[in-house]
Amino acid sequence: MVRPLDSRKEGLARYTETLVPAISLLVVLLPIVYKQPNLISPDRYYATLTMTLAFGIPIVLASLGQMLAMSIGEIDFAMENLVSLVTCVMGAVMFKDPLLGTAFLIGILAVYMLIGAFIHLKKLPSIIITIGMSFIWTGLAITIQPTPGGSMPAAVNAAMRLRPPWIPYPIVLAVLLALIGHFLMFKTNFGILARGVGDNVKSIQQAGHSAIRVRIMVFGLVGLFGILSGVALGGLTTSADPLLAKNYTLLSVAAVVLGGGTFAGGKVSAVGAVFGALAMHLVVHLLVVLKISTDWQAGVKGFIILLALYIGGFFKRAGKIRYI
Amino acid sequence: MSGIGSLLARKWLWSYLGAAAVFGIIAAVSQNSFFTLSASISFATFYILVGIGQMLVITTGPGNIDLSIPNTIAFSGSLAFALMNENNANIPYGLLGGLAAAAAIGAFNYGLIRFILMPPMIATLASSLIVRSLSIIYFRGMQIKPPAGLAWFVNYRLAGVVPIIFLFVLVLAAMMQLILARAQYGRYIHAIGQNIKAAWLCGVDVKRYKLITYTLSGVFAGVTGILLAAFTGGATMSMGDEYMLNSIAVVVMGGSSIAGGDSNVIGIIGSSVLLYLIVNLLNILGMEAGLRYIFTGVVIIGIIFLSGEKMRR
Repeated sequence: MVRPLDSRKEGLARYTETLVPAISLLVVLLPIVYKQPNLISPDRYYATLTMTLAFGIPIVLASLGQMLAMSIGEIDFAMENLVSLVTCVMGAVMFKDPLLGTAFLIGILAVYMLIGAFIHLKKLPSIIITIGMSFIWTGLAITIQPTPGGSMPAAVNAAMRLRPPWIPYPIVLAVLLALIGHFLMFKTNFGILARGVGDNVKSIQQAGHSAIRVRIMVFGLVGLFGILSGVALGGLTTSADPLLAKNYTLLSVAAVVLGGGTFAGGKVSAVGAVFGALAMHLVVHLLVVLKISTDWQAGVKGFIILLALYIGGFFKRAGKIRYI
Repeated sequence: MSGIGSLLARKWLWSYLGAAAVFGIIAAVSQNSFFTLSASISFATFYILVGIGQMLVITTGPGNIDLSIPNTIAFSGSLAFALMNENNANIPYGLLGGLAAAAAIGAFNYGLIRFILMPPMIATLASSLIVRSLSIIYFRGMQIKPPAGLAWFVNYRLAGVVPIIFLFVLVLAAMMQLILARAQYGRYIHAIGQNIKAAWLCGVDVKRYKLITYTLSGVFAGVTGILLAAFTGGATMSMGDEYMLNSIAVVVMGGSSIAGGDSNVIGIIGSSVLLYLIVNLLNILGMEAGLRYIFTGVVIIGIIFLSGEKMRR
C-alpha cells in the first residue's frame, strides 16, 4: 500500500489519534478522582498526584520504546525482561561498581543494535528473536539478583524524587517525554525515515537511504528507552527484582495501539503513546482503588488490555484487506 | 543429492545428533546415564505434546504463535482433576471437561485474532491473563491431586524403562505426521502458511482452518496439562510456566520453519529429548537457574542464526 509518509487527515479526524487516548485517560481518571478527592484538592493535589502518577513514568518510557519498535512494524517482546534486568543492574551492580554497571548498560544497548541488524539481515520478524532475548535478559537478571533486594544509587533515587514548584513531577516528566518523542518521530530525519521503513521500506531504499542503518538506530533507541524505564522503575521502588516489570510488554503494546499506533508500522503517535501509557497505568491503579480482589486483577487487566486494543484499532480499520 | 548428503540436508536430523551428543556427555559425567535418559524421555513427552500444538499454529504463517499454552495447561489440568475428584470412576468426565475447556480457550484465542484484529502474540498473551485469573478464582491456586488410576498410568514404564506415555505420544505424533502430510487439513494449513493470499484465492477457507488450528493447539495443551499434572502428583497454577518459550524452542530446534508453511513432527521429538537432556546436563553440572535461562535463549537464537532461514515479510 503506497501512501504519503505523513497522511494528514482534515479537521477533527486529524486529532483522533490523540483524542482517543486522551478521552480514555479521562474515563479512567474520573472514577479515581471520585474515590480519591484529594487529587483535585488545592492543598493536597501535589502529593496525591505525584504518588498516583509516579509509577506511570516507567510505563511511559517503556511505551515510547515499544512505539519506536512498532514504528518500523516490529515488536519488542522482551521489554518487561529488559526493564526488570535494568533494575537488577542498577541495584546489584551499579550501586557497588558504577564503571561495571555502566559497561553493562552499554552492552545491552549494543545487543539491541545488533538485534536491529540481525532482523534486517535475516529478514526475520523481531518476535522470535526478542522471545529468545527475553530468556537471556531474565537469566542475567536472576543471576545478578536472584531475589528482590539490592540498593539503588543515591543519584537515581534523588532523580526520581525531584519536587518542581506547582506542577507534580510525573506530569512534568510525561509532558517532556511526549515532546521529546514527538520531536524525534516528526521533526527529525530519523523519525521520517523510521516511519518510512515501517510504511514502505522499498521506497526508502530507492530514495537512497540505508534501511539497515534505520533499523539499527531504531532498536538502539528501543534499548535506550527500555534502560531509562528500568532506571526510573528502580529509582521509584529503590530495589531490584528480576520480575519487577511484569506485564510491561503487554501494557506498552496496548499503550501504543491505544495511542494511535498500528502493528503494521509506519503510523505512530508519541503524544498518543504517552497518554495511552498513563491510561494503562491508571487502569491498574483503578483496580486497586476500587478494591478489586487480587484474584480477579490479572483477568481484569487482560480484559482491559483487550479493550484498549479494540478501541485503538477501531478507528483505523476501514479499507484494510486481511486474510485472517 | 544422495546418500549422506541428502541425509544431512534433513533439518530434523540435527536435533537427533545433538541429543546423541548430549547423551554422550551425560554418560561421561554421570554414573546412571540411562536413568537420566529414561527420565528425560518422560519429561520430553510433554515438550512433544505442546510442541506439536505450537507447531500447527506456527505453520499457519508469519506472526502466528500461541502464548496462552502455559495457562491453558494449568487451567485444563486443574479443571480435569477437580472434576475427577480423586475418583477413578470420574476419569472420563474429567478428561472430557479438561479438554473441552482447553479447546474453548483455543477457539476464544482465534476469536480475538479474527474479530479484534490483533496480532496472535498479543491476543493469546492477553487471553492467558484472563485464563490465569479464572484458575486462581476457581481453584484457589491449590494443588489438586489426581485419581490413583491416572497417576498409575502416566508413571507406568514398559519393562521398567520405557514410559508408556512416551509411546502414547509417539503414536499421536505419527498420526499428526500423517495428517499433516496427507490429509486435507495438513495440506491446507501448509498452503496458508506459505502464501495466505494464494491459499485464500484458491478457495481455502482460511478462517475455518485457522480456527481448527488454534483449537487444536489448545487441545494439545489440555492433554499436556492433564498428563503433566498426573505425572507430577497434582495440578498447580504454575505447572505450565516453562512451556511458553520451550514450546517455541522445540519447534524451531526441530527444523520447522518459524516463518510457517513447513512443519516437522519428527524433528520435534528429537528436539524435545535434546532440550530436556540439556536441562538435565546443566542440572548435573550444577548450573544455576539463571544460567539455564541464558543457555536456552542462546540456543534458540543460535539455531535461528545458523539455520540461514530467510523469511518473507
